[in-house]
Amino acid sequence: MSINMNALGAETPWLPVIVTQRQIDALCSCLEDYNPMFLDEEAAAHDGGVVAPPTFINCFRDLKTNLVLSEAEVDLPLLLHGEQAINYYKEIRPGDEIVHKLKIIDVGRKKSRTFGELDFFTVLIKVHSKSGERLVEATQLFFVRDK
Amino acid sequence: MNYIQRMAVPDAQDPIQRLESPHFEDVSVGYELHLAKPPITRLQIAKFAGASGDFNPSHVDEDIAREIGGMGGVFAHGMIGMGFIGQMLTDWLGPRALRMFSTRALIIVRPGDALACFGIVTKKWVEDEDNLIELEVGARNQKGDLTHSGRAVAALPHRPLVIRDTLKRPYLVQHRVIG
Repeated sequence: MSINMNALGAETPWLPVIVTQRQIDALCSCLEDYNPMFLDEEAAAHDGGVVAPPTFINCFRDLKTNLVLSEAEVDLPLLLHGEQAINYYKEIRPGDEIVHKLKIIDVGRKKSRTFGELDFFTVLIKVHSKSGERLVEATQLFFVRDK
Repeated sequence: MNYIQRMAVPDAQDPIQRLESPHFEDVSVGYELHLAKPPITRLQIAKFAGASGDFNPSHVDEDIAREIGGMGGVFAHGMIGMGFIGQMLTDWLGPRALRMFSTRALIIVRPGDALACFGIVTKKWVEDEDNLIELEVGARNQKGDLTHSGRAVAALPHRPLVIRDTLKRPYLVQHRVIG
């Protein structure tokens, strides 16, 4: 089953979210990364307060599954994560009111290292402040196995 | 309640995390980072699914993963390994120094695989006002196979400028006065 190449350019609307300590706790608990700068308001006070860990952007994917399933027509069990590149512009802190959106910026077929030629698509994720300031932006490359 | 209680942080947790970035002038090309993580558990994979919202059955449903996924069972999200490498970076760099961080997931990581993360400083330069370092990063499983490879760029502070006593010579002072 190949993916829908017309998914190129498909995008979600900007979705507002309020960052919570609870979301950060959930990621840190999974990674067993107990850096007080992510978790402890007191320890982080001298540095302007708690910040989110570098891979926190993975927690903004409410719309990703929808985008992937409905536009790219991907069968989830065949999906493989290829690459992720994250650019950091400004820290994200609990309590921040942010907006995020996703867009499919590339689709096609190419060789992967392990599985030969596969369909792929690339998703751009933008996380901005409510006032439009860039906070974090990332691209993720996914492969979809033919089966 | 402090975070150690809130997160039920294990006693054995090594408190190596630093609260401030290293200084740019103290870092040299070739400097190495390492972080060995315990074997990945199914619980960790479930927790990542909850934290990220990525409930792809390839990661969380053994039955579907075996029947449809065809990968011989569930495997960890590639982003868990990236999270481990991120932890290695922020343990050393502090929480706000990263400018860019990329990884490529090379082979599948299964429950029980233990990842050893590594990084090495490959470049140091100044761009506009930023003191930047580049690192090659990655992770290997317990067999020594490369599971992730990637790159990171971080901006580090230089120590504030201080006129040392030995440099406080009359002509230096005069020079400053003259401008």
